[in-house]
Parts: sequence; structure tokens; C-alpha cells
Amino acid sequence: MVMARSTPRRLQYSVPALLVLALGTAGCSNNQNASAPTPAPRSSPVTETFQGTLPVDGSVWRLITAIQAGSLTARLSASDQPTAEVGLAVGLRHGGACLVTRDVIAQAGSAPQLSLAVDGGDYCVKVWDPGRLQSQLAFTVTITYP
Amino acid sequence: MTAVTTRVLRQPRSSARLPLLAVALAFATVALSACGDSDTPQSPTQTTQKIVEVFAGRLSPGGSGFYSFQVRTSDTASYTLASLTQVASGRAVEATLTLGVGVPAGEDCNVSSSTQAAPALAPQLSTNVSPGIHCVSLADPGALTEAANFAVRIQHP
Repeated sequence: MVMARSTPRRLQYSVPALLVLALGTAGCSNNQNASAPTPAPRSSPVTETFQGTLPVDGSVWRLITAIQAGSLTARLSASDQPTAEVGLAVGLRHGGACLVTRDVIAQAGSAPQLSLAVDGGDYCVKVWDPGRLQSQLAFTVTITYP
Repeated sequence: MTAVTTRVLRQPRSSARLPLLAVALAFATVALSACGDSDTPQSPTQTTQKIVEVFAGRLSPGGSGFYSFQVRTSDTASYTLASLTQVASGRAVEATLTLGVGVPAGEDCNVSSSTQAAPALAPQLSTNVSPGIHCVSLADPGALTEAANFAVRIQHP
């Protein structure tokens, strides 16, 4: 009779104790998961190529992040339709949009078609069809930024 | 008699469980405070990270608009008319607008500093700001011939 009553009593203390222990350790495992790797610092300026396929009447853009103030240049450097004219723009990346700052209608060439000073921040380089393409166009844009 | 016996037997058993509970609580306290330490800096950290906000909308010829934002600490704020585009085509508009900063006054922005700005990606205007509510305004002095979409980047402490 006595033993039968004392067993639930023991559980009464053991279960909360185990729960407290579990909570304590669970909190720490979350912290360990939160420690993300630190991105490696990069040099500045950098040059990268933006390659893609532009659909008829379409547009594509790439996000770039300037880590400091400096000069941004964009050059439509190659296309599979060398005489085709496409729109090239740079702008401010905001949310899921590329807000155009400056643009030009250009053919592939050897000199940057766009060049402007930038502050550190998120920007975008956009290529679009101004209504002159008869078929999709493969392109390369060379971008240099701080 | 049975009740007395039961009471006597239970007392030691209850006391024997208390150290276990106390140890568990102590462990959890240490564990949780250790976790808390990793979230709480040991000393205040100086940072130059700015808050970036974007004031975007549509401006009619001769029109104006303003946007209010909250500054937490004293430092420099910078303002960039970053985008001005045609509504229909999305092409860039190379017009010069009046970009101003100040403090809200009623339903307006009481501008204390302003400049004429064409779209760019480097700040056209910078001011020292103190904690409180500030505003940035954009007005067309007569350069627009049709409505245009705009975006002003605000970098503030």
C-alpha cells in the first residue's frame, strides 16, 4: 500500500527535473546552430561576368554588392547576335526589384557602355529587350565594381 | 497507524528527491545563462552599420512628396535619388529634382537642407542627424513632362 503510493510521488519529482534538464540543454543546441560561418573578405574592385539568355521582350538582371564606394562599370561584352541592340542598365536593388538609375541601348563592344560612381550597397545590372529582338539572345556582360 | 507510517516513509523520500531537483535547476540555470551570454555582448560595440530605407513612389509634374524616418543615434545620414524612370517603359529619366531633408511639421516636411539631384548611386546629400524623427522630400521644380517612378535611398544611423 505504501509502496504503491510512493512510486507516483517519485515520478512527480523526476519528470520535472528531467524536463528542466532537457530545456537547459536544448537552449544551448539552438545557440550552436545560430553560429553561421563568417564570409571571407574579398578584394575590391572585382570583375565578374554576367552570362545569360535574354528572351524576346524579356529582361534579366543580376544582383551585385559593392562593399565600399568606388566606380561601377558595365559592358555588354559579347552576344550571339553581334549586331543586335539590347538595353543595358544599372540600378538600385530594392526587395525583388531592380530600380533603374541609368540605362543605354547598346551593341556588344570593347568599352564600358555604363560607368558611374557608387556608394557601398546592393545594386543590379539589367539586360532587356527594347523590342528589337527576333529571337532569344545569349549575352555576356562584364561588370566591375568596388 | 498506517497513515502515520506512510507519512514517515514519505518524508525522507520527498527530501531525497529535492537535491535532484535542485541540481537539475542549478544545471539548467548555468546552461541557460551560458546561452544568454553568447547573445549579450560583454561591452557595448561601436558600429558604423547604417539603416537603409527606400522612399519610392510616383511623382507627377510639379508634384512633391516626403517620407519620415526615425534616427536612433547621432551620426551622418546620406540621401540618394537613385532611380527615376518612365512609368510606361521603365526607361531611366535624366531629370534633375529637388531633394531635401528636414523634420516633419504637421502634414509637411520642414526642409532645412536641399540640393538639385539627378539619379545616381552615390549620395547627393548628407547631413548630421540627431535622434528623433526626420524626413526626406522630393519635389519636381519643373523638369518632368510626365509622371515618373522614383526611389530615394536613405542611409541613416
